Amino acid sequence: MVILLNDASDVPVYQQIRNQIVIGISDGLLLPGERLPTVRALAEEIGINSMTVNKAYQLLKQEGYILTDRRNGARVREEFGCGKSLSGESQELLRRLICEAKISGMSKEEFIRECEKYF
Amino acid sequence: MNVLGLILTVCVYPFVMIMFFLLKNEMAPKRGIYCGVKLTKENAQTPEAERILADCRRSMTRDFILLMLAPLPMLFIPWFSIFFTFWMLWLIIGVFLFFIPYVRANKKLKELKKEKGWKKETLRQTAAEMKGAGKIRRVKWYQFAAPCLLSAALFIASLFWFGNAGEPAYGVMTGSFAVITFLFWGIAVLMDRQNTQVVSMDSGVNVNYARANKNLWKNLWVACAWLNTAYLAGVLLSFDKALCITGLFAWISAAYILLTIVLLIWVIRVKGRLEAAYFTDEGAVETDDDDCWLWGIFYCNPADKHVYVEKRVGIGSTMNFGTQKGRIAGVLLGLLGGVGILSLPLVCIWVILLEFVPIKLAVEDDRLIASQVSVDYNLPVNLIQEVTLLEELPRLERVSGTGMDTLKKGNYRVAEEGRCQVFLNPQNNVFIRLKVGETVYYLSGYDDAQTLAIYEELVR
Repeated sequence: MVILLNDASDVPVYQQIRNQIVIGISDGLLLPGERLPTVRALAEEIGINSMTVNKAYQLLKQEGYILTDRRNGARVREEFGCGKSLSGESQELLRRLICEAKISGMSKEEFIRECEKYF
Repeated sequence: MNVLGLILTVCVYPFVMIMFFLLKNEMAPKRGIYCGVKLTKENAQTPEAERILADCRRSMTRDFILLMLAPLPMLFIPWFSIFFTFWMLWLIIGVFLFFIPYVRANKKLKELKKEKGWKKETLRQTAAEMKGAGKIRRVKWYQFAAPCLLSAALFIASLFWFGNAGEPAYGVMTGSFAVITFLFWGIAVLMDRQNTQVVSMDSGVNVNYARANKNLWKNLWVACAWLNTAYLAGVLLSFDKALCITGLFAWISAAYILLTIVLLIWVIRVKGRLEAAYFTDEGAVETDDDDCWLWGIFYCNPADKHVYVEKRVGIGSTMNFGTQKGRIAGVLLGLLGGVGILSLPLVCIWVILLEFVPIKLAVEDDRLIASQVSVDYNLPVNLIQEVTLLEELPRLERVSGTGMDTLKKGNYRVAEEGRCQVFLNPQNNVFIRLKVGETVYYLSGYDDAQTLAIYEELVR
């Protein structure tokens, strides 16, 4: 899976890594149970500080996307909690996106069509 | 042209040819990079971009033809120092000349890109392959252990051998070559640890390319380590029992350089095939880090922690001068390169002086003075035990010093006599053999008249 980090973005690098891994899991590029690279290896691969990768992994663990243990390192969870709902933070983000779409003049249908493209 | 001249010609000529073909290759699309600037196919096919690339190609070809023809008159030059100086200058010019049209084209393309708005801010992104992180390693310790151990063993053996022969200084030379074998191992490890290059959004393609690429470099460095070890063994063989540098040394050195060139050509060809196979427009990752590359040659990106990165121009790796390690290495390499390039004209001047400044023998204040550019020998006349006039020189074999058609100077060895000091013009007809203490000297003046005059003065 290729991680793309935008150098000009205001989004912190650890957040970008987290987002890319979540996209990878949802697109099936990272399979359930698949082992992730170690913090150090990924940091070296991207060319960033290992603390940044560590922060991204901690966030992913906290959100329930990955599991970490000392022996096996980090791996994608086999099963995700099927709450069939968005977290509070994600709902807030979705709301912001809908507002932006409305301001830019998009209709509801157009916005849903756009969502279907990525869903 | 003597044998040394022939060897020099055969070894130096291909380097400039390689340089030309490497840089000319940059005009063709390579990883979406044209002349060190990232461009899309459509942008590169616009008349303006095509004109810049064509101009650069034309200038390079013209310079190449001139450079290839320039050495022809040199084949008829009888003076080694002039021949040597010419080749060294030719080499320096050859290495840098092709960069002039290249850098000009690089600047123009960058300006064109900016002017036309081809540069997208959104492309300022870093791509990293997660599946290859820390996993793709091709260099194993045992691949280098054999040549390194052999080099070390040859070095230790040479220490004993040269030590017993009373020439421990030669151990420095063999030691240097042994260190080079270890250095190849170090370089191989560093290149093996480089990050996986993202050539496609398909992880399988990236991982396969990284494997093939690292395999290629590993094979090259293993071959270099063995070649260097073989050369070290050859160097030891080229010193005969009397510790004289024989012609074998020059031939072995020439073979070493030629085989290195062959390896270089092989790497360039295989690398070209690899890039053609893996770098396709389909699924390519769109990134643009032109701003981090000076002329597409020097990489400086403080946000990137990688010290070694894949070169944009040519093949191999370059350093990220935005990192602290990169800056330190850059300063050291710059100093080393600067000293090397600056010392070359000085060496040429020294060789010219040696060939053209006549040698001089004189007796002043009861001292025999042999001088050329500076005073070489200053011997008290009263300590001279034997003086003989020779009409024929014995077979002299150089241990260290100068050995030209018109000048032999330094440490030589004479069969059945051992080590002696030599200062003479071998084209003369008479020579003086002196003995001072345990040391034997073979001397001559600028011409026979000077030699005879000094001989008579010494005998008197």
